[in-house]
Amino acid sequence: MSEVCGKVIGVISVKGGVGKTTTVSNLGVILTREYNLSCVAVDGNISVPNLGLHLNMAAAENTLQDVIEKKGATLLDAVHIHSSGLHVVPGSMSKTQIKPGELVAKIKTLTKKYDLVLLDSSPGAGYEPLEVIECSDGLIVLSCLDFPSVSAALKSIKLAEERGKTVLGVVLNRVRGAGDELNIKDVKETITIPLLGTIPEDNRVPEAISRSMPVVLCAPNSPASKAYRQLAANLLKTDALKCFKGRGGV
Amino acid sequence: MSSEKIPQAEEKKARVISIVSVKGGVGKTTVASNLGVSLSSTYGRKTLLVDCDFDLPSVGFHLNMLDPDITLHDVLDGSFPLNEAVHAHADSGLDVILGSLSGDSIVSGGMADLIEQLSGGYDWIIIDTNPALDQNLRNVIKLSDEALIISSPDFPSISGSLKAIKAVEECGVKVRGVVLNKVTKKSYELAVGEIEETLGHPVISIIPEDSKIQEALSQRKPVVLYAPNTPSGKELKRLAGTLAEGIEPKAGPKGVSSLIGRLFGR
Repeated sequence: MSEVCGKVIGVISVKGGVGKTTTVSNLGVILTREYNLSCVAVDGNISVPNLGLHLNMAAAENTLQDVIEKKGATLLDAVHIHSSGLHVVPGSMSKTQIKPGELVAKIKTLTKKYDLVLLDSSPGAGYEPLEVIECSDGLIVLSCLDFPSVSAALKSIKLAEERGKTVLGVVLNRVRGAGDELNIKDVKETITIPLLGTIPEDNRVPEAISRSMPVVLCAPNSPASKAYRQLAANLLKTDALKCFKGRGGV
Repeated sequence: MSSEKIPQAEEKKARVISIVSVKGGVGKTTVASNLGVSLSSTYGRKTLLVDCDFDLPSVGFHLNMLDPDITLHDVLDGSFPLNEAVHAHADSGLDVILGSLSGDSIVSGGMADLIEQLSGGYDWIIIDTNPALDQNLRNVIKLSDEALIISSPDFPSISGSLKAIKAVEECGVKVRGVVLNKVTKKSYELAVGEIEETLGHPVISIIPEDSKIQEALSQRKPVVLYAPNTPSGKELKRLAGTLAEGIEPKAGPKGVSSLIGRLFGR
């Protein structure tokens, strides 16, 4: 491989429980296995990290928090390799804080080595998600089809744009096609950001999480897995990631 | 079920309970709004719900109280007096202090005074909180007499609940118990006994996954009013009843869970 692209994509939403970590783990596995990109997934949820739980790496030593507070260490020292080939920087189950600005300062060691850094984030609008936004070249905003999460998506987009960051698109998750849901067309018009993917509600997702596996590995032909593959394809078509053209399977 | 409340002559002090989870999307606002509405309408308790999710207040979406003229943000920044921020929920008589959706995220300094001022006028003050484990959350927890931990029966939520319980206990506040929400009883869900052992606190309510909750939210009505006889509505009313009647939860479980090993590699 020649030089790496070194792009950072943050996955954000002010509302929790909309599928940020599920999206990071599944996208990471797909881009690694099916597109042959060098990809590292990083748990930017500093206070309540979940990425390790989704990838059966919760007990990892040398977490993001460990290397950030350790003099001379870099984030490369916290990279663990998942059985899928995806590289992962998990978070600590006991250390709940880093100094604001430290992740922004240290992310460069990863962008020099990887095509893509996928950055998970905590909910809310405090220093943790803002740090993720600052680190990112582009952002993916997660939402479900209800008022609270669409209002959260709007706030997330505002936070990103106020910091001069590009929102690559919105992913609508847990879509049931039920009458009580907001209409996708209305949501698209309200948020005025491209729709990158629509992930259906699918029992195989919580089942996969219970096994600490991404659903694309656990149930590769399930509706959610197919939708995550479509999301990966759409993401790679965005301008922000055009440097991936001609690489791997793209 | 409902009981007559004899008006108290002496000065009363509200019981303050915060609704906590550091994993979002588990149903904090659903539980907070339904408890508030049940306490006021079913049990006749004078109740106030305060939306202390400063980053993303969403109580208004659950109670159809959008675009409030005066919010908690306006009171905390000194623009308006406290009493002007108290709005009555038309369908239940619950009093509500809403947050501002457009306002900047603010810090929770000043909340202690507000709760102190409000305390005399209510039996219960319910505080909805933000999902991030930050200083705002800790400050709000410290104002409470007790905290209800909301979780769902999966690893990420239980891991979050462990952190939430630790934060509550570090604040010197009592954990009343764990409310398990969105329970499907599918085989891959964690079992209640296992969850109690892992968290060291009793599960005091099991709210089933129920599409009526989503329907209710789309109609901006709490499920206890929208579909009072649906399984989730009944359980939320029952939980409110245990608060209203002062029924103390059973003692916490003893024992060491095998889940801890999976969560922490011990």
